Amino acid sequence: MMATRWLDDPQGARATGRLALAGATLALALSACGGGGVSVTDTTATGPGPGGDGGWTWSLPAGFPVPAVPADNPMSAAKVELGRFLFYDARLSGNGTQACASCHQQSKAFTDGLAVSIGSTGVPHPRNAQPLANVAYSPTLTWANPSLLTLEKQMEVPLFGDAPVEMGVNDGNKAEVLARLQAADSGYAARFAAAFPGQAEPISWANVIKAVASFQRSILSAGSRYDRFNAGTGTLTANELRGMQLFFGEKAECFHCHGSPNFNDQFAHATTRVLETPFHNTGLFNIGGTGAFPEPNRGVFELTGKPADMGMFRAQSLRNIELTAPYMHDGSIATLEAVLDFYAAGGRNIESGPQAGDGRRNPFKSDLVSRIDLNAQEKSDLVAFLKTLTDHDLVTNPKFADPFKK
Amino acid sequence: MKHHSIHLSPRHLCVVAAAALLSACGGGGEDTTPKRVEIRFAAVNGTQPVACGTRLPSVGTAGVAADVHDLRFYVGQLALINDKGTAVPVTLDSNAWQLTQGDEAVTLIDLEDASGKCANADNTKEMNAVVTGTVPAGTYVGLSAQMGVPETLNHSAIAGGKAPLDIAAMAWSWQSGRKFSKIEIDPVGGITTAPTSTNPHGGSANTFYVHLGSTGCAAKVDANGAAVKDPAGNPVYTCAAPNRMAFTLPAFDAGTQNVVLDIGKLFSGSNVTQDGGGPIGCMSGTTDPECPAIFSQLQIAYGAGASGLPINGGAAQQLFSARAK
Repeated sequence: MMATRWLDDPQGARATGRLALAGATLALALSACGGGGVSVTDTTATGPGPGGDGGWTWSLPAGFPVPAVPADNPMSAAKVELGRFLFYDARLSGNGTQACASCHQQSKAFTDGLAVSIGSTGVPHPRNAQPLANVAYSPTLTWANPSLLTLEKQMEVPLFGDAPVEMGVNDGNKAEVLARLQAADSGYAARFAAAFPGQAEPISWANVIKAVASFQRSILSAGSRYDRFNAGTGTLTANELRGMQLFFGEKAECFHCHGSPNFNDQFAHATTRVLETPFHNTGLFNIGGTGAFPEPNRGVFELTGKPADMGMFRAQSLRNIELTAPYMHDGSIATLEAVLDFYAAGGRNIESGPQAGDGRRNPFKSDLVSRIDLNAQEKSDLVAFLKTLTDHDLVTNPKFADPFKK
Repeated sequence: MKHHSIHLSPRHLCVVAAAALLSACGGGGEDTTPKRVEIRFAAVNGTQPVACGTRLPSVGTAGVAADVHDLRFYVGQLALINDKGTAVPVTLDSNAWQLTQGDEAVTLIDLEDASGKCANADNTKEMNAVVTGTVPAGTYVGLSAQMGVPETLNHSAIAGGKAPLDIAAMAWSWQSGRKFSKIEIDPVGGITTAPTSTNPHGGSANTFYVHLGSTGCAAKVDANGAAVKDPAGNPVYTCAAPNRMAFTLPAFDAGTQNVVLDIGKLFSGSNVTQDGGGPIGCMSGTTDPECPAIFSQLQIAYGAGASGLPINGGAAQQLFSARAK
């Protein structure tokens, strides 16, 4: 359906951003916009039909390709706006206490500041909340599940999951939750009708999911000081520049796993040709010297049962990393400084207790995580650089903010 | 070909005239109209009927009493075996408990009514104990089926999905599929859970779960990196361990017999008062210490690198049997 093709601009995408079009039926309006970004209007969804109110204009940062969007859920402004309301609406949880935004708070780059999130019924999740900025480019969506490839599919987990309970929607309350949205004073009847025109009963779980997914895809972040430096419109300090050289250099080698425009290594878009979804064991654990990670946090192994998948987790995007502490899949490292200590050591040695074991010697550890012996100055430089990846517009932008807040 | 024969036997004439003259054929005739079938399922513990509210007096190797906490499972690819030994698929009626897509068919058998210890947030009053449909005219002597959701139906969306695959409680999101079984009991006195690295002193739990499902599932991706979709628009998955339980009842008469699932047998090799790690009970994970005993009863090849296929076609399974109504 989407047949746009994005090409690298040899003159520097920051200057003009360029698109080549494929597909005779597409009509794309392009314009270079402020800050070197690209504006792409997908008019294929204009007019009556699934797209709703006149399609969608991506305001893409420089260097960002057109995201892949499922053919059965094209973007539209009405869906994104409906999705924003739903994202912030606690009525969407079974007991009415928790919204998506409870664990994905804008002020914390859509994380929650907890080591592990707590569901609507008080059950702790085994994992640390995911940040959502630029999630439109993520081929997989969670810490360690290679089988979840769309936001629409992933969202069934927090909505309906029972181990652990997150939003707590179940067969006993799923009709009631929709009825809350249907209630005359909720304002949703018109919003669903606008987002899903022509449907007799637009307030449905399938449409709730489509709208929230559309809102999530709209959360783009590339307004950091690093982005402005890269675009030639801002500067970095000497300290930050040294950190940047370390980051992209062969000493620290951070870029191997954090080298995409999203500072991770799972980055896909509308014309991705070879999809890579790598996961890595970074040596956080090595219980009893067997390579084991603690249940139920054994990474991809939890799904596949393959020994080689033990402790394999997805490299996290480092955008806004300053705001998303604590770190790692289990929130077990509190600060950026401590994360660097961990990587500098090439893993974590836990000397006593039930998790004892030397993660540096985990047999399944990635070869890319080796001891790099950073000195205090280098660590300080790297932390300074990582903090240039914070997008303060993201955390204050009204387009992503709680619409219920007066 | 015999079609050109000018000598029609009385039997041939009867077939030709069957629609109008069925009754005229008397004893020598043959009914060619499809037969309606209604195959009724029930749960038992030995000879004891089992439902929500039932206390099983002695479960597993510890011989403890236990209450039913949930009792649902999907039955797929149900066929009747005819007198020539051929398994003939039952064409399912279309209703909220049954779904057919192409060659794949599934029914949700829901034997819980949200009463007793089944009064949980994700249980519902609605029940379904029957598979209904038709088979071609013929003589049927047996039955074969799977406990499981056929592969191309397994990974469809829950939200907006087609009944009976729209039941949230049967969603198994972590493997992007369905729970094939949601069979759960609460042992009286509870379950002691082993110490874990996150809970070094161990703990306790109330419910021993048997969630059967396909594991090691990965979405299929084409050469261009796009997720492969089936004609219905669902992503295509491959699962390392399909974990569908096969059962055959060589002698089964739907008119006089039920298909019964013996819950007592399912737990017969398990100590349901103890959990050694992983999810409480068995949720099909390949390293869950409670799974070998359960999978032994299911007669599915289990463990790291195992096929997840029925052992010898499920020939040795004893969980499902035919029993007089």
